[in-house]
Formats: sequence, C-alpha cells, structure tokens
Amino acid sequence: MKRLFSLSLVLTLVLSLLGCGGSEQDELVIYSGRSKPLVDSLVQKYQEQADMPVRVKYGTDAQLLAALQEEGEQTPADVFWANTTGALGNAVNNDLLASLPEDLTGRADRFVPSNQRWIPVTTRFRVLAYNSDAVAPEDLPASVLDLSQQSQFEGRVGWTPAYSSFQDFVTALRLTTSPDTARTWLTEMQDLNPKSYTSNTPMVRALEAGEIDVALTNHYYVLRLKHGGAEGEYEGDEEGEEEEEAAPRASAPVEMYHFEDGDLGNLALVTGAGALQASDQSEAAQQFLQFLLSEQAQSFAATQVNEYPVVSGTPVPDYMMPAEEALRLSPTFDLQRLQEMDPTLELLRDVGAL
Amino acid sequence: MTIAEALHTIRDRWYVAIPVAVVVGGVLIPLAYLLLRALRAEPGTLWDLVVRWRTVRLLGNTVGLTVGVLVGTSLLAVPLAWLTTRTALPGRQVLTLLGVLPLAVPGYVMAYALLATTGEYGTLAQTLGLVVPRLSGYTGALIALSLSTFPYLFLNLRTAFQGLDPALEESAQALGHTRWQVFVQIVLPQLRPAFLAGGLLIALHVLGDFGVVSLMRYDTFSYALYIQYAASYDRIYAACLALMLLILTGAILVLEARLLRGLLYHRTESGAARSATQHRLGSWRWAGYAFALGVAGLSVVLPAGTVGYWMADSAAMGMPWTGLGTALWDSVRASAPAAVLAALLALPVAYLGVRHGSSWTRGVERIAYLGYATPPLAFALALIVFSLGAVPFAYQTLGLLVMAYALHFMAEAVGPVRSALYQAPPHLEEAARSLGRSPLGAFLSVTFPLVRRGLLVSMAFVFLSAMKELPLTFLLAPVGFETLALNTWSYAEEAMFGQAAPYALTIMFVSALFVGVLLLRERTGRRAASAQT
Amino acid sequence: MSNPILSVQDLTKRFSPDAPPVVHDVSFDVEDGEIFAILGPSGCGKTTTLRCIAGFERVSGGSVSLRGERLSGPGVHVSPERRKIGIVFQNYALFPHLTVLDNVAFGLNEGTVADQRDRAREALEMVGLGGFEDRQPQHLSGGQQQRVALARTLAPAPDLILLDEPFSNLDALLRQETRQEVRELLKSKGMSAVFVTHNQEEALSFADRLAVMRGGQIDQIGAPEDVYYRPRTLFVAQFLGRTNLLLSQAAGSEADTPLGTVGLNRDAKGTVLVSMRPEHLALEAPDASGGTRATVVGRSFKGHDITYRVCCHGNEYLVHTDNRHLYEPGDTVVVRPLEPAVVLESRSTPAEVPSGATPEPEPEE
Repeated sequence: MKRLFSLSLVLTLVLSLLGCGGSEQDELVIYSGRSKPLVDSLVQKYQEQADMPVRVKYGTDAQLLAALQEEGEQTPADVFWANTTGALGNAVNNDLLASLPEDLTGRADRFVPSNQRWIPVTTRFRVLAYNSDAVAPEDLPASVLDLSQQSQFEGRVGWTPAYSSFQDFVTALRLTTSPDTARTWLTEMQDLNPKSYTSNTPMVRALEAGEIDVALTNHYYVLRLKHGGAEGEYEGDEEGEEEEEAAPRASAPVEMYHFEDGDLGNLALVTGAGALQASDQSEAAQQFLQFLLSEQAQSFAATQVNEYPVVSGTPVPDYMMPAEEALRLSPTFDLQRLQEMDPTLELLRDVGAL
Repeated sequence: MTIAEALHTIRDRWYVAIPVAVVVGGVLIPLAYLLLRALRAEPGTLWDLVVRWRTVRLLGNTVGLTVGVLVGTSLLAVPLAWLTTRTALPGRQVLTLLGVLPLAVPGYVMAYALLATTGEYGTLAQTLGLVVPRLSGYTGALIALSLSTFPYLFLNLRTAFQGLDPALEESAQALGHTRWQVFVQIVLPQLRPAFLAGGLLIALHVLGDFGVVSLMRYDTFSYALYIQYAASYDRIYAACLALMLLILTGAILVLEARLLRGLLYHRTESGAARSATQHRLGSWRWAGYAFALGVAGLSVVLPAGTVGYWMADSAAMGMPWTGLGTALWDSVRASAPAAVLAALLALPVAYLGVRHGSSWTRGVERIAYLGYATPPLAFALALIVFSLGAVPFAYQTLGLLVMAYALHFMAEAVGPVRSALYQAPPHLEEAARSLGRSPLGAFLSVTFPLVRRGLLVSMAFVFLSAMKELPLTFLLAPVGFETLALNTWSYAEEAMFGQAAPYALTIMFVSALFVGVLLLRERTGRRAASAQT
Repeated sequence: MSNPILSVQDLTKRFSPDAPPVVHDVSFDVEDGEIFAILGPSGCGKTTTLRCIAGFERVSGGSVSLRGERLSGPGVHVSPERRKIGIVFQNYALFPHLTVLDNVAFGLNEGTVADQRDRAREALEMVGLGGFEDRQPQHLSGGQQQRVALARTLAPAPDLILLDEPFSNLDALLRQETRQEVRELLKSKGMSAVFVTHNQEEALSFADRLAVMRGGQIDQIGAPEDVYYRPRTLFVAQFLGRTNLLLSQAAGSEADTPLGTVGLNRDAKGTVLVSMRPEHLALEAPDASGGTRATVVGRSFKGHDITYRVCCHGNEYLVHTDNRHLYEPGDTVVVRPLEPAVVLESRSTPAEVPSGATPEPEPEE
C-alpha cells in the first residue's frame, strides 16, 4: 500500500511535469485573440506550406495581453494576433510589438497604423442589427447619434459596453465629435435602459429570441447567424442555406441596418497581428504575417469568417455587401487613434455603463 | 513548543509539511500578486474606483445571489437527499446518479440551455406554446446556478442522512412528536455540518462564477472583475476588485467557521450505527418521483437535450472525431492528475485540521478555500509571474496547469476527505504506532484505507470541475493544448453552437461515466460490507 | 523495588508553556510482572500520564524509563513504535478494514507471513477467540472486541502493556468476569501492565498496586488494602468508597471525636480530620454501658450486610454491619469503633470539612 501510494504520487508529479515540455526552439508560437474556430484551419494550411511547426495559444485579447505583459522578455510567443485594434494599440503602448518592414506593411491597402508596428488582417463594420418583425427599417434613425433619441426602443436596445469593438466605437465617437457629445450620447442611451451583454453572440441570440429589438454589433455576427459561416462551408452551399431561410424559423428574423454614408455607426474596425519584440524568431514571425496577407488567407477570412479582406481585389461571398460599398459607408478614421482607450473607459464608468 | 521542536517536527513529518507548504504557498502567491498590483494604482484613482455606489450595488447583488442560490440549492437538495436515503423508493440509485450528474454540465451550457428554452421564441414556446419571459438577471442566474451547483449540497446531505442515528428520531417519536416535528426539530439540526460544508462550496462557486452571470447579465463582483480584465486590460482596478472579492470570501469563511464551531465530533461508539429505517411513501411516491425527475429534467435532460439539438443542427457536417479525440485526451491528461494531486494535497491539510485542531491548522484549511475563491484569471496571472520568476522551465507545461487546477480546486477535495477522516478515529493510528509502525506507516496502513472512499469523492469533484475549467486553461496550458471545455467555449462564443455541441456532449458524457463508475464502486463497497453481517 | 521494569520520575506535562501542568511531578515504579493501576476521577491526568508512557505525548519534564533505558526525558523522545510498549484503548481501536486475524497480526513484523499468522492465531486462541479469525471486528460483541484488542497488543510480546479504561465499555455483568480473565491471563504470561481507571472497585480488584491521582498529582501509592484502609489524604479516603469523617482533637495515640474517644493509626496533635470506614463501626443496643448514642435514621438492606445511617450530634454517619441485629429507624443505638481511625492529611485546613459520612464517590461517566 505504501509503495503504491508513493509510486502514484511520484508518477503523477513526474508525468505532469514532463508530460509536455516547454516550446521547442524551431517552432512558431502564436498568441491568438481570435478564437480557434476562426483561425485553426488557416494555421493548419500555413503549417503545411511553411513546413514549420506552428502552435497556437488561444484566449481573449485581454487575457493574452495580460499574459504577455506578465511574461515580459520570457514570453514564448512570436506573434500576437488580435481581434481588436484596441488590443494592438495597447500592445504598442506597452512596447510589446516590434517594428515591421515596409514591404510587409505595404501589402494592405488601408488601415495600416502609422507606427508600423502591426498589420491589419481583416475588416469588420459596426452595424445595427434589428428584428424585422418588430422594427421597420424606415423607422430607424439615419445616424447612430440619433439612436439615443428613439424612446420607442426603451428597454429594447442591446449593447456590449465591455466589448472592445463597442469601446473602439466610443473612442471614435469621442475623438471625431467631442468628449461632451460622447458623454451626452452615452447618458441618453443609458436612459433608454439598454441591456448589456458581455459579448455579441449572446446579444444576437437575444435578438433572435425576441428579448431585444435592436442591437449595436459587428456585421459578421449577423452574417454568421444567417449563413452559418462555419468551417468547411463554402460559397457553393449558399443556395441550400437560402432555401432553409424560407422555412419557418424558431427565432425572430434578424436583419442588418446601415446608417447613412460616413456615419460613425458604420465604423470600420480591423483585426490585426504583430511580431513580438521578445521573439527570437522574428524572421518566421514576419513570414507568418506575410501569409496572413496572402490571397489564400484573405479569401479565407471572407468566405469562412465573413469578414472583409484588407487586400483589395479579394472576392467576398455574394451574400456579403461588396467591400467597396461597405468602406464607403464607413467614416474615414485613423485607427491608430483608437489607442487612447483610457478616457473612453473613464467615460463609460462615469455614465455607469461599466 | 519551542522553535527547535517545531523544526524537528517539520523534519520528521515532511510528508505533511511539504504539501501544506505547497498549499499555503500556492494560495498566498496569488494574494501577494494581487496586493502588488493593487498597490501600483494611484491612491486617488483607486479611491474613486473602489468607493463608489457601484461597489455597494455589486456587493448587494453578489450577496443577494449567493443567499438566493443557497436557498435554491437547499430546496432542491434536501428533498432529493431525503428521498434517496430515507425512503424505500424503488430506483433510488438512478435518482442518486441523476442528482450528481448536473456537476457534469458546464455552467455556461446550463445558462445557454435555459436561455434557449424560455422566451417568445424559446423551445417552450415552440413546442408547447408556453411563453414564459426569457430568463435573465437575478432570476436567470439564480435558477442556472442553483441547478448546476445543488449536487455539492446533495452529496453532503446524503452522507449526513446516512450517518444519522435512528435512535434519536425514534426517541423523539416516542416522546409524541409527529414525523414532521421530528424532521424539523431533530433531523435538520443534525444536518447542519453538511449544510455548512456543501453551502460553503456553493457560496464560493457563486462568488467566482462568471459563465452564468455574464450570460444572464447579472452584475456581480466576478462579472465586474471579468469585464475589467476583458474590457480595459486593466490589471490594477481588477486586482482591487479581486481583493474585495477575497475579503468577502474571507468573511464567509469566518462565518462558516463560527457556525461550525462545536458541531463536529468523532464518532465515539465502536461499530457502525444501525442504519435508519426507510419510510414507505405509499401513494406519495408519485410525488417523490415527480420531484426527483423534475429536478433531473431541468438540470440534466434540459442542457443535454439542448446541446443535442444544436448537434442535430450541424449533424450534416459530421463529427469532428480527430478534434474530439485530441481535446478529450488533453482534458483527461490535465484533469485526472489534477484530481489525484488535489486529493493528495487535501489529505494532509484536512488531516492537520481534524487531528491537530488548532487555530493555525484550521487556518491552513481555510486558506485552501481562499484559493478556490481567488478569481481564476488573477490566479493564472500570478502563477505566470511566479513560475517565470522561480521555475521558468515549468512555464506553460502540463505540470504547471495540473498544479494550478489542483491548488484552485483543492477546496472541493478537502470536504470529503475531512468527513472521511472523522470516521477514522485517531486511536486507530495510535494503536498502529504502539504496534511498531512509524507515523507515516501507521497512517498508510490504517487511516488511508479508511479514507479511500472520501479520496475518491474528492477526486471526482476536482476531475469534474477541471474538465469544465476555462480561464486557467486559457492562460496556463501549454501552447497548442486544447481541452474539450476550451473548444466548447470558443465555438459557442462565435455563435457556432453546432460545432460546440460535440465537445460539450463529450464533457458531459465522460463526466457522467466517471460519476457512474464512482457511484458503482460506492455501492459495491457497501454491499460487500453488509454481506458480512 | 530492586529493579523496576518501568520507572516514571517527576513526570510533568503541559499542553502549552503558560498553561498549568496537566500532570505534575508524578513518580512511580512498576515491578516486573506487576499490574499497576492509576485511579482517579476524570480529568485528573491519568490518561495523559499513560499517553506519556506510550510516547504519544512528549513530556514537559521528568523522565520515563523502561528496563533502565530512558524513553522520555530532557532531549530524549523515543517514538511510540520503538518503545515495545503495547496499549489497549478504551474503545479498542480495532481496524475496521481488517479481519480479526489481520488485526492481531498487525504488530507482528518478524518471520514469514505464515509465521505471523500462526502467532496471531495463537494469540487469538489464548484469549479464547479461536475460530473468529475471518470476522470483521465490527461484527463482534463488545467483550469479543476487547479480547481481540488484548490479543493484538499481546501478540508482539511487548515489555509492558498499558490499558486505558479497558473495561468501561462492557456491561456490568461482563465486566467482572472479563476483569478476572484478563488478570489471570496477564499473570500467567508474567506480563507487566499499567492501567488507568476511574472505577475504584476495578482498581482495587484488578491491580497489585495502585496510585490514586487527582489534579495531576499522585496522592498515594500502595497495595489496594493499604490504600483503602490507610488513606493518606481526605481525597483518597473519599474516592475509594464511602467513609465517615470525624473532626477530632488528637492527643498522641488517641483522639476525641464526635463518636467518642478512638485510637489513631499514628500519633497526632491538635485538630485533625480522621476517617473511619463504615465497616469499622458497629452498632450496639443502648443498654450496653458507655459509648456514643445515636439515632438510626435509615437502613438499606444489601443481602449480605446492612448499611445504617445514624444521626449523632446533628451529623449523619454510615455503619456497615452484618445482619444479625436489626434496628428500625428511630431506634437509639450506641456506635462503637472497631479499629483505630486513620489520620488524614488534608490540603485544606481540617476545620473546613464537616464531620459526617462522605457522599457517594463520583458516579461513572
């Protein structure tokens, strides 16, 4: 019995310590704030092409950013692939990202930050999702700034004040108008008694379930809800999907509403990636970034994830609004400015949204 | 005891001293980390952030939800425990299994299931035309948390019901009390230690829960905490919130210790107590079945069914067998060693508390609970800092993850070991020592076999929790390590419920299998014991 | 006291440095083959003394030696498993997960497993439990469990065995019988034993010698008759059965007591408290000359003898007599001492204790 006991003890400890050694030198380690379902098969493809072992640690932007900061120089990561501009900006502020060469940053057609520390990978747009049974698009305001005046939506609005895309939107609002306008808008929105969700998926589900009538979200959540947007599903399957659409659904019909051209409510935001300063494989890291801007990766983003490519000329599925049109809807805004997060958070806390 | 003697004792009892040091260290490191982070804040900003109306509201919400869930779980667990131990209801074993299975359901899956069921477009409305308001806020969080945590109380109460001396009830009945009076005046007070043990775990679980409260949109400390980490990349304010949460936990631990004082005794009588007579329910048994199956329906069938429905939605895509296999292997090879390690760490800690009860040994036991309540994200960040500083070779290894699981979930392991130790009187070990065994030898040959069942239950608790764990796994797992829970959560976060379903179902299936085997062991063990009568 | 097997010298035990000692300066020796009892009320420190001898507690002062070898003392603490001292616990502490045979074989480490089992079987035979080898201990009666515990303790042939209230879990009828059997067994094996009890009858009948303990100290050590008939202190007199206390004026070998002038067991002067066992008093009819007159106030018939309560100068006294004469309550009688009274050392001043019969000794826990 004694032997069994000590044996199992030692075995447990040894096995667990050795079971999985530290990362090997010649592999690429990616910290991905983008979740596995959106990224995994792309990474697999890269691994085959580059003939290099790639390992990914998934998490949320915030988790990984916190980890990166605590790890400092000792981080095993080579690439930080983030879901939001805010996270990338934060990484730049904390001096985590290395400068990138011109030939890399020059690949994307737009949204490249002037500090050249990261590259944009995909674009998404802010939209207003609505339940078309309950709301007619004609009744929706032309500008997101007027949404706060729509008292008919009292208690029927969904938003995600803790979610980075929303915060990016507020930062943009603060910077393009004035801090006071932003405060007023938030206060008035608060008076509408909006429902706060931690992330977009439960919010869009709530919209489907009839819990709310309108929701401030990103475009692809609605697309994914309506078109699956899953791995292994290609454009060709589209027709079948449409037919299904006709059948009675167990949910409210969800549609996308775009505000007028150039309105902040249609703001384009990007996901992006950068190479870490502490990485000992900057070469490999840059190669991977290069791959993210390749045609293959760009069209993957469009077909599989329903986000917009940042390299022009990459086709998008039919059911997506053409990229040019979407870009026209969005106001022009230097995304590097989104780094100024702190005043936004203060504002959100002040009005009681956080 | 002088310092020299103390050192001597520590050297002699290294097998107690080392695990205790690991546990205390493992819990104090995150605490120190949080304090360091919180102290970095500018005092002015910090003051403004902490002392505001929102803090009071968070406190009120958190306490309110905790109390509510304690009441809710009691309402579910007491009748179920009574039905499965004190009645002659046929099929009690199955009902027992159904009462444990909710532990296999991740909290967020439970929340998603409830959300999908209720509301204008919910399953209820679709199938029965029954429109109930979509669950959210306090009610939603209360229901989801009660349904997913009541087994902690149920299991504790079951053990307590089985251990009650029937003579007490019989004498009360002989003194002219009705059955109901006996239950309220004699039985319930004796269940107090079990209530406290189960209630403590549930309370700490509620304090730390994020999955359910975020989906139900109910503002508690842990929700606010998550939002700070997630939204603002703000480790400083988050650290303050975490410390407030820990103070709240400390208060609960002190309260529990006070309530517990003087309630636990070693069983002094030699031989086992006579087991209680089992009530025949007569026609009431249909009410019994209705209740038990109703609870099981809500807590097990509903989430399993919902997930099954998601899966049917995406069945055309086929099962991701390789992905499932890898994820299952990763889940198991992290959770199983963690379960063993947690039980082995809990053993000396509980042993000290039970055998050498003093304020500091009880303190050590409480510290284990503090680890449970430390927000996992803070816990993980602290371990990152610590391991990179002290043992860089261990960083992002399975070993560190296993250690983190074990330290974090140890509180779940302490309870069953502790009650098992109370069943093994200290004289047994002394007898073994007077017969020539060393302290460790005496423990291993006498006490260990007696607490083995308790250890199994401990391992089961930790295993089930580790299978569902998210934040620690996210941050501490080796790069490329993906558990079932990570997959479930990632797909569900991206609204790909169909793809999330196979992973969620696998968690539930493997966990259920595990619990089933465990209960089977318990039953055969008891049957073997009674066969010798 | 030439070569004691166990020697306890000035044993002191405190559970924390500033707490008063639970055991204070206790000294006694146990001879080879002797059965030694420590008798005292609960909380007197007797079990702690036993646990210090067994090595479960570290001593705070003094020493414990077995066969001249120091086991406990300043800087010395031999751990329990290396003391060759066996112990039988009050609740027997049988291992519930082992069979009777495995329990008994538990302490046997030498020889092959087969040897060990043979020796365990022998030990079981010795206590009359042959044939019970494969039972689980919890399915045995209390008396059987007790004998298994004894067999388990005796099997490794320890130098000394300790028994902690070994008979208190047995019912009264079984107790006397078992006591006798165990005593004979220990005697036949020439075993030295220390046992603690709070039951004076058990101590008196089981032990060769006994120590009476209270408040962590030993009041008196001696043979049972010695301690019973010549208690040194008020406590010992009271604890070993009922007695009559007489506040007296001593003058040399005699004293003036409430029951008249009686002889003393030793010379004394001034105010003293003396003890007179009820069986050392006799009642006579008042017509006899002289003596102290008293009134019978109660009588209890016990078959072989009778205990009278008599009242004299306002105090009650007990008198055990044979049953040849019968007095009724209300009768006037003469109380006559048959033996010299025993002068008691009292820790309090004698005058604070009233004359009269002592109450029943503390009932059993």
